[in-house]
Amino acid sequence: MALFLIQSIYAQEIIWLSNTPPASMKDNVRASGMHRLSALKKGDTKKKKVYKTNADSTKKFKRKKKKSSYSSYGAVTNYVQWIRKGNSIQKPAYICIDDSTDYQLKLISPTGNEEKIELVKSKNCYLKFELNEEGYYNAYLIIKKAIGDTLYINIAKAELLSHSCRNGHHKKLEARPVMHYPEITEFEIIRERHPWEDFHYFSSSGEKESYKAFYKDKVAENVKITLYTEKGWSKTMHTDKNGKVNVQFLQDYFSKWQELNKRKIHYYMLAAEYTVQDTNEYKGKTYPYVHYTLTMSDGYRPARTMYTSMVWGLIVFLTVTIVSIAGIFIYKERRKKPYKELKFDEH
Amino acid sequence: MRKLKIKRYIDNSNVSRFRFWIQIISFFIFVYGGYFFIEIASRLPIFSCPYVQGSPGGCYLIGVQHELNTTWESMLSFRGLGILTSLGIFLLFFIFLNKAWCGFVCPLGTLQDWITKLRKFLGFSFTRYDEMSFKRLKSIKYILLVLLILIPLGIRNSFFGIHVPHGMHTPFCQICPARIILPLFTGDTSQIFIDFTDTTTIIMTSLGMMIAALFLVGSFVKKRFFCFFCPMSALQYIFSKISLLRMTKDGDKCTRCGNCYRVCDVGIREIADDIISKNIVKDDCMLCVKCVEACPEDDCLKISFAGMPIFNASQEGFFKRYTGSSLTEYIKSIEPNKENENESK
Repeated sequence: MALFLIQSIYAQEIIWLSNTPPASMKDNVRASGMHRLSALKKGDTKKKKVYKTNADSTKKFKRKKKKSSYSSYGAVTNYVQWIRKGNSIQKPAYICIDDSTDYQLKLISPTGNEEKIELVKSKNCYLKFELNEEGYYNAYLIIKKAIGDTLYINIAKAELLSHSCRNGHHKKLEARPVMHYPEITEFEIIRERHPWEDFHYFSSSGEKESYKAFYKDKVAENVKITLYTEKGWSKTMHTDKNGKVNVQFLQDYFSKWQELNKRKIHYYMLAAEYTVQDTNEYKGKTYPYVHYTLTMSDGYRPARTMYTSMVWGLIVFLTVTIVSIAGIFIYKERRKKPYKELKFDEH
Repeated sequence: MRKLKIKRYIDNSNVSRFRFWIQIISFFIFVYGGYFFIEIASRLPIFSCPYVQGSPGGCYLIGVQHELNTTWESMLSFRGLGILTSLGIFLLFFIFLNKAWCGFVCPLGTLQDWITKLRKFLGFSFTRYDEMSFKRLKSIKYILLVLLILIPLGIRNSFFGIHVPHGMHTPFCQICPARIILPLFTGDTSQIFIDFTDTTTIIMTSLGMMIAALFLVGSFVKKRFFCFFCPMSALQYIFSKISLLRMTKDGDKCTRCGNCYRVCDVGIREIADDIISKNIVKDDCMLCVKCVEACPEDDCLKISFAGMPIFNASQEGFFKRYTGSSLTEYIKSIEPNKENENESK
C-alpha cells in the first residue's frame, strides 16, 4: 500500500501531478477516454444502480442532473490526479498536502472558464474534478512559501485532453489551441501543438515535442528545464531566445515484439526552474526574488514503426495483386474455346 | 403544359452525365471536404471514410462498430439512446437517398466506376458472374453485416464464454479497402501496413491489404466489384422499403428486351425478368438509373420521390440518349434515300 505522507512542502521541491494511480487505488480507478485519464470507478457503479430496477430508476430520475455535455450518457465521470514528490517516475512518492501549506488549486476549461477542483483527503489523497468540455483543460496546484528574501512558488501543472468519440469530432481542430494563463501563474510552460493534432493525438517515441516557457505573458529565455523519463533517464536543457526547448522522446526499453504493448503509456515529467529579480508581495511582505519551480507530466506511446510494417503491407498487397491477375488471366485463357474447323461431308 | 415540358426534358436527359458530375463533386467533398468544410459533420450525416485525413466526418459503419463495442448493461442504459440516435440519422439520410447513395455519392463506388472507365479505355473485356455464383456471392454482404455487429458486441460481452479479442475492435474497417485506398488520394500512405501487435491484428491487417489488392484487380475486370460484398449496401437495403426515393416497374409495359439487364453494372437479372414486382430495387441495386435510361418503353421503369415522378423511361429519351437524335430523325436517317434511289433507276 502506498503511503500518503501528509506534509509541508519544502521550497524548491519537485511536486508534480501524476495520472498514474498508487497501488492502493488501482482497483478503484479506470482509464477513461482516448487519453487514458484516470477516473474513479465510483461514477460507474452509481450508473449501474440507477437503471437496475424500475423503482430505483424512478427515484434516481428525480435526482437533480448536473449540467454536463455527457449528461445524456448517465453518470458524471470524476477524474483524478495524484500529487507526487521527487523526480522518480518509476518509484512513486505519493504525497498529500497539510493544512499549514499555502496552496491553491485551479482548473481551467478549454473555453477559459474556471471549474471546480478539490483536494480529497481520505484514505487516499487526490485531486478530483470533472471534465465536461471537449479540449484541453489546464490543472494547477500552486504552492507558495517564503524563505529569506525569496518567494518560492511551486507550480504543478497538467494539460489534460478531454475527449470522447461519442461527442463527435466536429471540433477536432479546436483541440489544439495553446493556452496559458498569466492571471493564474506568471511563470508557465506549455507544450506547443503540432499543426496536425486532433483529439486523438498522442505523443509517441521518436517524435519531437517543443515546450515554450512564458513569464508574464512574454517568452522566457534561459529557463532550466529537466526532462525525467520513466526509466530514470534525465536531460537538462535551457530555453532559447524564443522561450523554446525541443525534446525528442526516445524509446528507452526494448522488448520482444510479441510482448510489445502498443497502448502502454510511458510517462515523463518536465521540471522547469526560473528565478527572477522582481518585487513580489506575499502575505503583506515584499520579496525581491521569486523562484519558480514548474512541473508538467504527460506520456508517450511506442512509435508506430515498432509494431507496424509498411514493407510487409506492400509485400502482401503486391503478392495478392500478382496472384489474382495471374488467376484471372489463366481462368480467361482456359475458358477460351479452341478454334475448331468443322468439315461437313456433303457427299 | 409547362410541367409536361419540364418532365419531357428530364425524361429525355442524360442522367449518366449528371451522375458523373455528382460523383466527382461527392468524391471531392468526402475526400478533401475536411480541408474546407471542417464542421460539416456536425450539421449533416457524412459518410466519408474517417481514415482519410481530409475527411469531413465518418462513415456510419465505423460509428456503429464503435457504439456496439459496449456491454449489454450499458447498451440498455442511456447509451442505447445514443446508438438509436445515430441509427435514426442514418435512416433519415437513406429515407431521402435510398440506394442512390451507392450509385451517386459513395466515393468507393465512384472509384470503381473510374477503374471501369480505365479498363474500357485500355480495351480490356469485362466479366459477369454466372447466375449460380451471383446467388451464392450476394449473401456475403449480409454475413459481413452480421459479423460487424456481433464482433464488437463480443469484445465487451461473452458469447458462450468466448470473448472476441480487442484487436478486432472495428472489424469491417480493418478489412475495408476504403481505409487503405482513399487516404492515398490525400498523399497519405500510412494505412499500408501490417500490424504485428498480436495474432489478431496480423490477420486483420493482412486481410485488409489482401482485400485492397482484390478490390483494385476485381474492379478492373468486374464492374462495381466490391459493391457486391459491401455491408453498407446490405444495411441500406434493409431500410429500402421505407425510402421516399423509389424505382418501380410496370410489368405490363415490359417487353423483356433485356436492355436494362445488359446495362446494369451489378448484373441484376430480375430487373429484366421480374414483371410482377412493382418495387424493383434489389439488394445489389445502386439506383444508378442506367436501366431507366436504357428502357425504350414509355413509363415502364420509373424513379419517383414521395410518389412524385422524377425520371421515367421513355421511347423518345431512349433514342435521344443512344442515337443523339429523336425517333423520327433516327427513322429518317436509316430510311434509304429516295432521291438517290430514283437517280440510280
